[in-house]
Amino acid sequence: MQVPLPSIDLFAVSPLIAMTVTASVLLLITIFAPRVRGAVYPLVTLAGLLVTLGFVLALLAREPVVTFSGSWRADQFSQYFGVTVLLAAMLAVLISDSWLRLHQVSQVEYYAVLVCSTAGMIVSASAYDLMTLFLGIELMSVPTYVLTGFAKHRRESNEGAMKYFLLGAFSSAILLYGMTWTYGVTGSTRFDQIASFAAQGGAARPAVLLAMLLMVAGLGFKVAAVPFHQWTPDAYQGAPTVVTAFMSVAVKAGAFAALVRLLTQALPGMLDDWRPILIVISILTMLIGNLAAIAQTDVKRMLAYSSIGHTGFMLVGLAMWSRDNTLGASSVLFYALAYVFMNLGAFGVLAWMENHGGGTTLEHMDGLFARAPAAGLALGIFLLGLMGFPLTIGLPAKVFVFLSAVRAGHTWLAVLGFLISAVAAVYYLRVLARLFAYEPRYALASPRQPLMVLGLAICATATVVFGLLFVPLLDFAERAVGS
Amino acid sequence: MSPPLEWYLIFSALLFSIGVVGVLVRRHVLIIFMSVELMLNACNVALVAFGRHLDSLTGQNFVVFVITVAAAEAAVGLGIILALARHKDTVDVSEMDILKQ
Repeated sequence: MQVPLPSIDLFAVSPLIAMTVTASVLLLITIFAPRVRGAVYPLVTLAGLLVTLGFVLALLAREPVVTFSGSWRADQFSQYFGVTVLLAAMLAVLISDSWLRLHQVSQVEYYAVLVCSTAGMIVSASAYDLMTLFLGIELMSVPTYVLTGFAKHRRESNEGAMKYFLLGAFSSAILLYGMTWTYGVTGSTRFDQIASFAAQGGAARPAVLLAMLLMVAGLGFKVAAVPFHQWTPDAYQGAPTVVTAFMSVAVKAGAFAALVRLLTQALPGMLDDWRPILIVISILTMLIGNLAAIAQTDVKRMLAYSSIGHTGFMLVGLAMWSRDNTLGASSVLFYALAYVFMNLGAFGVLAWMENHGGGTTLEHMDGLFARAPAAGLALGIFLLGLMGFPLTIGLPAKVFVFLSAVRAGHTWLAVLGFLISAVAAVYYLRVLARLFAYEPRYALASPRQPLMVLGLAICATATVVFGLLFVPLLDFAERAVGS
Repeated sequence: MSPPLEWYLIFSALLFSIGVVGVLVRRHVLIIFMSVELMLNACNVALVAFGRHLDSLTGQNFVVFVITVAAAEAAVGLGIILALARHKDTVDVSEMDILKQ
């Protein structure tokens, strides 16, 4: 049998090549220069991620290309998510540095694994074929299991990693079974061919529907949507706080990229089938995530539940997508980027406090503003952002999601979402009150952590600045969805 | 004369269901992990059968990647299990409860 060579466009995969080189260079440094100390590893990682970002931005100027036998699509959509996850990875490197030093954890593996996971997110966002999508999702997930268990000496970390791993592998298998049936019924793994088959409908419809349900369930695990969310609080609480900061924003972005691409480009013909399912899931996710967050006494676990709630808001946007209402998808993209700054920052401040000998329970928040004004103010900004307060990026993110629901004629869903976010404000305000109005209870040590301060400052500035200048970001998201 | 496609698909569905039930009801970490592998291999059987039926190589192609991914997952998973077993001499998931509130 003659197998023709596929067309190969190396420039389209250049971000991936740059990240592979970065991870390899990191590992090679330990082999050839094992005595290297200081800030070499974070700086090499940051340099590699910056080069990758350069390639991503260079690709933005290009027309969309489909290459590698139609398995890879480099367009504005993949570059949008590329920018999002690279920002998350760079900020994660900045805030992780001091934690790794204080606990004398092996730095090189940490950064290499972080870069691999980020590469997986870029693959998920660029995949145009079920096979590539599966590989991307796995390349994103497997390193995060390792990162969750990175504090080997702490049992919570081990236990969180175990639960995350078992449920993550389980969900990947469900996703794969859905992909298998999609391939079997439609005869192809390419998104464009699946789309043209699904548009015809006919006798195969029930089988495609089953396959779609399995794939939505598998990706639902990754984005932490109810009823597939049970791993989230345990994994987020057990993982080192700097890791939670990274994976709560980046894995969500990568999995949403896959979900948006799959539903809007491979299965747009089945919109009437997946929309009601997503509406039900989004309502449950918003309700259960936010209500459970109110009952928490540990801020880290509270933010884990709030992250489930935010998944619910994003799913509302995706459920409202249609060819005439692209705001549905672009609001999800906007939310994913806004969430990077707010949530990574919030977990980052918690990590900052832990490095200073503080804890993450509600009592530890008492009087943080009086004790450390900059940290208290930053955490205040992030919590206001997550709440959706005006002048932060959280408000436009929520408004666009609800606006897409109104445009799709589901005003009731927008009203429901608004009411739930008003209820959610309760638990953010409770922490805010403790930050600013209570007497300080615990003393804080003061190790030097310049990179972490820089990272948190960037997050806080972005939360406020993009809260005012959100129009260019939305334009970028709109172009990404339209490409 | 090879058996018809349906037989393979029923076999694969049975394997997948056994895997799902195993993950949901068993408490031993290694058995849960084996059940996940069973689910992945159920997918492999179906992929090869579909590929043969459709006369396309994509199915077998996919299987090669799935096997690779399963190997990577096993390496990481066994490492995590080992790290946990060092701390607490158990592999029973119902005893992993320090994160519950």
